[in-house]
Amino acid sequence: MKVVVCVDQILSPESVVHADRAAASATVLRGIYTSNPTDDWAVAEALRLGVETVTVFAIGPERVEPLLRDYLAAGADDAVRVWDPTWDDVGAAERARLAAGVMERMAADLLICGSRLGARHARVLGPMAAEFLDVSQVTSTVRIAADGDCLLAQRRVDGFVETVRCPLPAVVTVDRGRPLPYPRLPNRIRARTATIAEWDPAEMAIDTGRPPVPPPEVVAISTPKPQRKTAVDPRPALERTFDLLLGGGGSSGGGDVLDGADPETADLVVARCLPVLSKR
Amino acid sequence: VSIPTSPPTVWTLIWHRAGRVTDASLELLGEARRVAGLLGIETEAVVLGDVDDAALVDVAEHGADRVLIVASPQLVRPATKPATAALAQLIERRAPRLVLIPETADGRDIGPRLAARTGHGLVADCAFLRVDPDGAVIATRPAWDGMVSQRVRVGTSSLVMIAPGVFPPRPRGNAKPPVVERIVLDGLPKSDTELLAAKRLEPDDLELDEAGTVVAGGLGMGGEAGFRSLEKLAAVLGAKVGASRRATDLGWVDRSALVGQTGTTVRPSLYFACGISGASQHVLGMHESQVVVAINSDPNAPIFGIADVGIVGDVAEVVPALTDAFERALGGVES
Repeated sequence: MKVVVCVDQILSPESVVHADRAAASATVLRGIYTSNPTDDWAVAEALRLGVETVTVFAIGPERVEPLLRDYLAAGADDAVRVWDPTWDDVGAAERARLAAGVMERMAADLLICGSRLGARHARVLGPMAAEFLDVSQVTSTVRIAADGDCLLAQRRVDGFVETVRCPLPAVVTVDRGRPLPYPRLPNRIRARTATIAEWDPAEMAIDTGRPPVPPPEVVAISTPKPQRKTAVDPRPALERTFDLLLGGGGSSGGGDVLDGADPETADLVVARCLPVLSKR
Repeated sequence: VSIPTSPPTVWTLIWHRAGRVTDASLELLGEARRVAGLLGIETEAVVLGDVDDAALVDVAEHGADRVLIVASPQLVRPATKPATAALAQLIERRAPRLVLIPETADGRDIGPRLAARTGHGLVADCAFLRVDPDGAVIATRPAWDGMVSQRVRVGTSSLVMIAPGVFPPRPRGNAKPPVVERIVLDGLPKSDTELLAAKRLEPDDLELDEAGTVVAGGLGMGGEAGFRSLEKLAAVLGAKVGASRRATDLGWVDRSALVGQTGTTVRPSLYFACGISGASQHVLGMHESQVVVAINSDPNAPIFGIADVGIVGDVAEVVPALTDAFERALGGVES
């Protein structure tokens, strides 16, 4: 079985993005890019399938190469980067079309994508690619396993755990998973020097037989205002962490302290906790 | 199959399970009614598959002028392919002004696939909808990984995905009986995905860092028997059991329960630290919990420094007392 995994970088909150209100466009002034945790889970699930080959690919400029090398170090067999240097960005539907193109060119049985957690296009990419290829899809998975010509998947939907079986080829999105395996030394050495294939998007274009999805017409853009209503410790996270470490743990304030195990004490605690429990 | 045409309306896709309409769908019915009112048009709720009469009344009372029930033997979970095909046919024929989709797992499954099939615009993560005086519908959504907020024009028959909780449910206002239109679709593709099993998500199925409540024990629990009493409290609260490093090192509880720097970092709404002193490596893994309840016999234990409620006492007595008190308060049922 051949598996391809679509990965991407996401902007960390420390990045600076300028919103140009007049042009209704945004520019990344200081981009600090990290991996998307759900992509890590997607790669980890792919590696755990124990299949013939696992190829990771990213649709992005040169800056995505370190990310691809990280996944090679974790155990992926090869890596591909798809990009046109004249591009600034690519919309969700076009990314899905390219992902479908990669799956088709690789003759892969399975395309795995991460989902959620802020990635710009990850949430919609998998199902769109599945439709473009007219193959099965299983979204919101937490575990997957190969089952002959089929795939077994466990997914979480509206408070239920569903176990489903779908035929291959298929597209899977991963909502949650297990951590990446620790990079073994041989893989790390290989990842450092491995050649990352560069594919021309023009060669990826597939005929989906579907009308093109128009990119959204942006009429205005702004920087979101902070929504947090409660007081926030403004010190950097590292400083707070040091305080906790050096202070021997609990050192920041404290609440009501009650004595004993009598029913009245227990009822007071319950009264304090019930509002929190009922909010969920 | 002939699907009758109708003037454009605002649609809400209704997700349901075991005959009950999901809360996320009911929330969007209220928003659909508000937007439709501003546009001077009606609202329609689109239900895939059969639901009972009580669910239809629920949908009508939450703001749907009309309920379209799409019936087909293929629309049985999991029905991604037939559902996409059915909705694509219906949208083609009826050309709704816009389609609101609850962005639950079902919405994330079908919404993008439907956009890819129909070629209609898709706005995911919509946080707000506005209607301009010229009748243009404008959706606000995050972009650039949440670094900026975009307002985008919502074209005819565009799909707008909205996460649960973005709009509060509106009070039931429409007491009229539901106007139901039943559309039978033949020739839908058969689902190629087979449902092997489905069970309600129990606290045991959650990972430690997903749990809303964590009941953690440390050295003060005294042994495996102490952890049995924590499991009882956790069962009453629908919580996961966590542990400090000492408890896992001593083998009282599995290492997967370890909370802290070398284990799992948790951020639950409610965290019980029972017999845990509050050493820094543990506190680093739980200090972002919303409410911390600490129980320790040592009044000087550092854990009291970050606790919202602290009980100085023997965990062997306090934990059963708390279990009884929560059982009484919650009626012995998981919250």
